[in-house]
Amino acid sequence: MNNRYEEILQALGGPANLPQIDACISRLRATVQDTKLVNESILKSLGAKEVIVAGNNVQSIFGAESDHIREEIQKLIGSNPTVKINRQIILGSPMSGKVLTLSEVPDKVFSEKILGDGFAIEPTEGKVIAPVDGTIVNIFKTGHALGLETETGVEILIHVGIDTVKMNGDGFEALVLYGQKVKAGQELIRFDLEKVRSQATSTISPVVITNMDRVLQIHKKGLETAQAGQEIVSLELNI
Amino acid sequence: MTLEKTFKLESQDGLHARPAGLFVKCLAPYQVTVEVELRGQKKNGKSIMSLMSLGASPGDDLKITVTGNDADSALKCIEDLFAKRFSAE
Repeated sequence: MNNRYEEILQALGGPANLPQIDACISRLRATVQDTKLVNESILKSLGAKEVIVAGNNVQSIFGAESDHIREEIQKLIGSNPTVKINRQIILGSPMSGKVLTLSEVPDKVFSEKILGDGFAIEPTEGKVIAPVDGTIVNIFKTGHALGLETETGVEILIHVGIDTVKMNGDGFEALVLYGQKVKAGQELIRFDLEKVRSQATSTISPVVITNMDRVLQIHKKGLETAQAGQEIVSLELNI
Repeated sequence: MTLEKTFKLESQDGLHARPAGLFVKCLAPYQVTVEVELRGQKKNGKSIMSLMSLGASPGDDLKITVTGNDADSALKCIEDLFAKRFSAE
């Protein structure tokens, strides 16, 4: 055994014990066949601050490097067919309004997909709801944008309007806190649509997957308008 | 190779969506791991969501640690971004 990633893989019981491996911002998440093959003390000696076992899920807190460890372990496992299990998640529209493609967003960072792939809504109502169950991993203090992470580790950024950061929170009310678990359909942000219309560059609100490496394919339903909560895209996951 | 440098954030509105996106985009071609530290929080510099969750404001000092074969090229790219104050062009 010559490298740390191999040692981590072995401490999780080896490739055959690992039908799924994933990571979020600070945790390496493994779904294992048999938790008895997992060696917590070795994981800790390899840098995990804590190891949490719940059912068949093993979460090792490796901090910021968790995602890199996942990447290295996936390379080690390589083409092992038992590891790739496609999963699908469905996103509801976080707002009511006209459905647009990201290329129609008047801001390069979104239209050129620098932040990731997704869609945009031109809202007809000043209300943002959760598109899917998840955890709030980011809430801007100005309340104009937030990040949601699904249980499967997909990170979704909802950004109300363009250049709304300059409104400095005026007209926005965040209804959730950092770290809070939310259910699909739960109200997250309320905003003054007229104020955004008159003060920001645009009301067009991008909804973007910021870690597209987790997504194999994004299927858009091709709607022209959507009601908040209406199914708008499905994601096929790369895990 | 590991390189470390501290940068003062001077972009107008802090490390919000646009600068975080540009930061990650500039690192994407390089085989490196990047850690960004502010007030004791360490975050993955190749993750947009992770960077935004630092809540960095103008005037904050960000300690950036780049590890990997391409560390010097990656750090140069970050230096350029800070020098241009994250303006997109």
